[in-house]
Amino acid sequence: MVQDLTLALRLLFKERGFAVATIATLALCLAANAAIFAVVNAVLLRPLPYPAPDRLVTMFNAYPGAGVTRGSNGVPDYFDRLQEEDVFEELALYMSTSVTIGGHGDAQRIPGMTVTPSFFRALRVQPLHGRVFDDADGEIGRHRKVILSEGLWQRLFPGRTDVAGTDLRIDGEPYDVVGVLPSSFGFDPDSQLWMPAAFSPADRADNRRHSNDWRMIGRLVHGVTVMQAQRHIDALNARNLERFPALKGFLTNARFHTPVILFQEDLVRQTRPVVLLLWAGVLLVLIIGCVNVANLASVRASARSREFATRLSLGTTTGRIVQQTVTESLLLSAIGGATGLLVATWMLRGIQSLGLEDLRGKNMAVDWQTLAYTFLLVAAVATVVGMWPMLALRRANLADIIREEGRSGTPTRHARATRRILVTSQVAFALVLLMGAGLLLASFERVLAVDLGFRPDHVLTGDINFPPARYPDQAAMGMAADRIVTELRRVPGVAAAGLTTSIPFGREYSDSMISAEGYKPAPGESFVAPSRVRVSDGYFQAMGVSLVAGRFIDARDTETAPRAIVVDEPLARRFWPNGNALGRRMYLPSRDDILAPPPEDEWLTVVGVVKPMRLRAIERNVAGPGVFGTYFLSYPQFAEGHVTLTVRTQHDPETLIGPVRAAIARIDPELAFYDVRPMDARVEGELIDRRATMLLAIGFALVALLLCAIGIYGALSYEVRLRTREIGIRMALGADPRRILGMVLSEGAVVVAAGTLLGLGGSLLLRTSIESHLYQVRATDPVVLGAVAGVLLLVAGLACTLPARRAASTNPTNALADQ
Amino acid sequence: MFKRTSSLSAVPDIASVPGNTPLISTRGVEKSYPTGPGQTYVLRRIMLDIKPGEFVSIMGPSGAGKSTLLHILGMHDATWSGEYDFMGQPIHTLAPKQRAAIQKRNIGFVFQSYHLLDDLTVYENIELPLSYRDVPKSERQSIVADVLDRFGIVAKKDLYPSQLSGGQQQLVGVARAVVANPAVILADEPTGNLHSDQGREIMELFKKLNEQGTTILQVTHSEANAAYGNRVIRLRDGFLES
Repeated sequence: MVQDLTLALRLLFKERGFAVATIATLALCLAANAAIFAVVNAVLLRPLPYPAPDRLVTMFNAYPGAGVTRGSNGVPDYFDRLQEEDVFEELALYMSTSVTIGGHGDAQRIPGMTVTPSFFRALRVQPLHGRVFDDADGEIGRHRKVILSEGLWQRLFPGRTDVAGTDLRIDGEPYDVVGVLPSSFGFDPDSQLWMPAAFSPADRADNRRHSNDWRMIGRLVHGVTVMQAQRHIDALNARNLERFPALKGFLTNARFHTPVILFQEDLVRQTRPVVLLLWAGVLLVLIIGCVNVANLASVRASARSREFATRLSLGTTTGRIVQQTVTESLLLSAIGGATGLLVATWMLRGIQSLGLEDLRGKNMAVDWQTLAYTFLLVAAVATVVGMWPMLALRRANLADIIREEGRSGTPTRHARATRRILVTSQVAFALVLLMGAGLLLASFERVLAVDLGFRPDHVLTGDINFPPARYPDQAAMGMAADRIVTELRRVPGVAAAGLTTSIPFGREYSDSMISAEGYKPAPGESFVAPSRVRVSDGYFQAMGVSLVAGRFIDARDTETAPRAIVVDEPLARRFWPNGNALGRRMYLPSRDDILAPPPEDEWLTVVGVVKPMRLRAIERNVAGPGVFGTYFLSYPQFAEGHVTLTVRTQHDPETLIGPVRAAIARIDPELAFYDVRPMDARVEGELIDRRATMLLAIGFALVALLLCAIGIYGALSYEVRLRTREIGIRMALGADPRRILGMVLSEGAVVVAAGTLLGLGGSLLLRTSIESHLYQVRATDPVVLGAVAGVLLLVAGLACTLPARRAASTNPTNALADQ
Repeated sequence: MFKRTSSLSAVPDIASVPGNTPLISTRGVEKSYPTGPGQTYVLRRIMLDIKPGEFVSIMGPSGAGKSTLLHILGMHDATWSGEYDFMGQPIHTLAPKQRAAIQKRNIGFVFQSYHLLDDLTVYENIELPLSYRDVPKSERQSIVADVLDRFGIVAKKDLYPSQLSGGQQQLVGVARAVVANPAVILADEPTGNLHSDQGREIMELFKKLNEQGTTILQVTHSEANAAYGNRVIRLRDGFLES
């Protein structure tokens, strides 16, 4: 082994060009693979950092028939399911929130979570200082407790380990700090504090069933499977259907059910396809790179074939020669792998800077698992590259090899066929990668072209929370909102101002049942639960929404005015497919009797119809099966604590941040104005994941294309070199340069054409894998197919042209000089 | 190296050459390579006339410039100076395309190392020059069949060069050189890699071709081979010996 290693080092130093080309190719390919595997490991493979993470489950209420494929959970659900002690060791509710800490002039908005005291028990989290919540902290009157993150603790109470029992003012109320969690607790990367949920009897009442505001996590009893837990929950739901017959019809028609899923599975549900797609992409790049290296090795082995034949004739074995060549390729692969790992750390930083949502907070590094994976790849590459040329030697006749040179300079048919197959496979793989990148690019363009239903340019947005202590009811919140909006309109440069409870692409969504006067669902048809948004006067104008009929919510729609509602076109069509929606009446069904009309003052009169707005995701349909539109209520009539201001200006919206903040402070200096950014930035945030995936796919495809072009150029150049004397003979016999050019180009064309056809076939076979990532683009889109094939053929054509021109300019005399 | 001063309206052949005009005529042909500040000459002031129907042998020690001269006369080499007329056409003034047309029509070349194409059968190797001359396929078939028969290698037409002996390969090489009925055959050491019996067989063949009217110009070290011809030209250090 040492002898082989020494010989390998000597040979590689002698053939530095070959060594450098091989190491560079392998380093690039292995770096990409190591980086993406680090992502795969962090996102998909690494278990959650909690004890027995495979016992953690989540569940949520779903009403697909009403258009709600994934809701949340209600407080009554939590208490019902707590009774299922045979199945759940712990159950907890949690929701994201944000609070204001501090007071005059130094109010800060801090993101956090409200959790039932069982939350930390379910996750089995140990605090850094103090304690986690106990059940008593969830009782009303004793619930003003808070746990801080390590980062927030260090900011507010640097160095103090006796922080338990300290007061912290939250939303104007005093809270006791009971504990500090370590920075390793990364359940939600944004949360910096946790407060206990305390439920009143009203929260737990049956009329709050299916008011789904909470997410749920549970820890299964040891030995209980997810399927068993699902059966228990299904049985519980079935019992409740009988207990509450008023809702039975609606729930049955809405196909209400509660999926129980492994918590880790749920976390990676959306990320998995993207990450796997990227993983497949880099593996293809590695294969293409390996083909280049195998070709280089094959060429090198051909040059040494007489040496190998002589060694064999002197008594060595094929196995011994294979050992030597594998040692050489192992050395090259190891150096390439080590270099690749260095490059991978930079690549990982680049991947993180792309801002993929699901990578936030993940610890992605070249850890021992990534090292092990890279080592496996290195070993596989070394074996394939080292053994590949020797496969030909095993089949060869020694005498032929020794006598080989001197006839006409034509390379053996077998060697040429092998090189062709390798290059054809490269072209095929490169085309598959290019197709993927092309389809993602086309999808991205479609997404960019989507009509959002509003104009995000020149709009500043930012959030406000009305703390319950100072804004205890709707009237207070409505009045404050009205004063703020009025004050905003006085700011120079403001063209329009308003507010909403659900800014597009924000995190606050609400679906709620609604029905129309005289509307009776057909048998089996569900009541619908469209998106519900509350808006102030001026909101639609600030957002640039198009009015189809009637009017927007405006200053007339005060708290005491008759209740107004604006619907979008899909919702209007749902209830009045043939008629005019204006002036019609709608109502929010009561859980006690969803068909019963409301009191007279609770009817909602349709005052306007607007074009549909994209609220949750740019790609989410605003119309079609299972999509029921949106309705807009007047904020003063349905006020709630969290709102987003929208301010339209003719200037750069960021120039308004200071004046807007000052305007809010004039109304209430303790109100924090946070998450301030232009609406364009929110839209841009929606595009980050798709853009990042597309950019990575394009990157891999371009690397593959480059490697493929190098492979074609290298293989064809080598062919031309081997056939120099044959070309000289042909020219001596009368072949003109154009005929030689055509001869070499057609050799390249056959390989490229075969690879292109194979690649197209491969792309079609793999179309189901990529379809889930596409938007309004079919995996067989002929324009993309044609464009991608065109690019590949152009690049491959250029790669063929250089060696062909070299062949055509051969001097027959020099080529034939054999004395 | 060449000044294009004349054009070629039709490719000349042997029938178009007037009676006493030499087939090949050179005046002051020279070839050199730059070496440092100066030049190293391979051929100096070559003055040569070869008439149609001659069988000429070029002889001389190694390095005398024999093969270089042959490749210049065969129009494989374009980097030389002087004047060279072929069939009365001033080759030194013609463009590469025009020279290639004349070469294709009138010259057949036989190589010392045979230079057959390994991937082509005997039949295909012989057919190759005809395909480069755009001879229709049906005509090619009959011409090649005729040549195979003349050379007595019909039975070997489907074999590959690696399946033939050296002498058989050179026979195929000669057959390939004559298949297009060239006016002149240039042979560079045609028996250099052959056994003496095989060499004799090739030289007899050349003699027969010459008797049938083909002009032959061979480079050879062998006095025995030179004896088959009717004139010997000697080169030494690039100069023609008078």
